[in-house]
Amino acid sequence: MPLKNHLKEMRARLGVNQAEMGQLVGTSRQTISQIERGDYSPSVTLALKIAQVCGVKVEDVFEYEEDGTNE
Amino acid sequence: MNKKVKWAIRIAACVLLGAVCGFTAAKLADGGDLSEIFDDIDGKKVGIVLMILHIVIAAGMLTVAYVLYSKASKAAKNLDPDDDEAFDRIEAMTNTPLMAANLTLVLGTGLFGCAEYFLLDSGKWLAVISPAVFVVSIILASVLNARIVEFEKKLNPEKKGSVWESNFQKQWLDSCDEAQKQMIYKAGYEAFRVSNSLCSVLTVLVLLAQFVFKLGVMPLVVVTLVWLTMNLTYMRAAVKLEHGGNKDA
Repeated sequence: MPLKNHLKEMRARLGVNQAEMGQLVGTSRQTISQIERGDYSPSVTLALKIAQVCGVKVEDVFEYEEDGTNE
Repeated sequence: MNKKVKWAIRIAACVLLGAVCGFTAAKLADGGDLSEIFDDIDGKKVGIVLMILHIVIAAGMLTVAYVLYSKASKAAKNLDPDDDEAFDRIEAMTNTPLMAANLTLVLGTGLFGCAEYFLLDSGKWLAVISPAVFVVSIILASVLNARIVEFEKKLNPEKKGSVWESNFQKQWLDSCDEAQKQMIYKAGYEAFRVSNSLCSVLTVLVLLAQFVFKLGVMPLVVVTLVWLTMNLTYMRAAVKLEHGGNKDA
């Protein structure tokens, strides 16, 4: 997945664990864990919710990186 | 070699294989029927071997499953709520017991059916022990399944559903978020893809076996029914999703 994220750093800044972060954005702890590990790329809705809870723009949490497979 | 040529070669190979199998089946068609072949073997011995295999598989799988589940349950008691990696580790520990419980149910049902076929006329004790093994293993596997689900619910309080209720799968799915639903859908599609290939192979085998062993049309009807149900369900769901049912997927 060419989507890099800084969710772990943002979460640390908020001082919440994965379960609490999940509650804040209305998702499970497992999903937060998967996003942080890069195993899951969230939907636009969830990405926007995460950015909103972190008080930043969505591009500050998620970065799209070309992986070269489409070239 | 371009794709069309490769495809043509593959089709030609399939036709050739079909012809060879058909010819062989026709040649073997005089081989006699399967029940006659079974008459020549000691049904009681085969039944006992199948029953012992059932006991060994059920006992082995359930023991491993209970040990791993107990380990996960013990580890969860001392879990630090801020230790995110420990959460992931404990959840991963429940995968094997869950798989073992499900395999016990499926394999147990198959082995029980086969053992009973041979044991039914082999004295009342043997015909009673086999169903007893089946019932006990089904109960133990179901209880384990329920305990793992309750354990998962403790780790993830947003999860809903009880395995003892008929609509458990729907309740569980409804309580899953987008990532978990995607995981379930992908795993479901993989199961569909593999089952589809398996059904096509089984159809050919059953078709040939029908002539060679005079099995009758029942096996072919069953495989066709499963294959048809799978495809109709898939296509019906796909059409429904295409026309507005995909909003909250």
